[in-house]
Amino acid sequence: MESGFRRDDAGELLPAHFITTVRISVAGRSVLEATMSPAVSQDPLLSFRFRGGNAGDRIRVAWIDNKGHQRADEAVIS
Amino acid sequence: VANPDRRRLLGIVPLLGAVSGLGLLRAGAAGTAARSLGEEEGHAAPETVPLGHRASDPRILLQVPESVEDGFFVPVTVESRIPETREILILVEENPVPLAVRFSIPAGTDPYVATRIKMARSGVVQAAVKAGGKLYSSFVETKITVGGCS
Repeated sequence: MESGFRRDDAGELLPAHFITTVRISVAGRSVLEATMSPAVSQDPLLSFRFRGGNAGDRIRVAWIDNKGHQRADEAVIS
Repeated sequence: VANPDRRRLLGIVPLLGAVSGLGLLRAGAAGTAARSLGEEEGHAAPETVPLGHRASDPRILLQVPESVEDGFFVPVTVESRIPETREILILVEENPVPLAVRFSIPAGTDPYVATRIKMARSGVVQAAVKAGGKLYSSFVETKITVGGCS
């Protein structure tokens, strides 16, 4: 990721590249949404707590970055 | 000459008034208002939070270490005991973009988040909580040995 405030060796600003939105859902229900700036650390180690999770429920984590790239991954609560 | 920051801020005022009905923008707000993430990214619903170190709301537990060596990794934990907490925001006034991250907390999710942010230099971390359409804040000062911006 790149904050957009760093410069390369030639003194040119490096273009920003960072995750802007993270959406987390469990069994299809939204449990957290985060809107992020470049001030979120590269490895942010995000923690939160939700109620009503059951074994077998699918957790889905989806993100979008400022260049429009996106990805979603899923895991099952065991 | 029109100051682009100020013009942008003025654009926010009517929306703020409509959404929250709060006197968020006080005198001199142009200098103290956080630039919103939505604006930076061209998304809808810009919003402004008053910055500046004030008395902390005791119902917002904000944990930041007293001193942090690496400004690229500043651990921040926020827990709100204010009923109907729907948003938790983490802000650093001294950063180039003060609003670091905004969390939407749906019903069923505890008003608790922990993450790591970057700080350019020593300063104040602010946790703002939106509950019942109002904003509440807590503040903690932290010392940064090596800044996390360059």
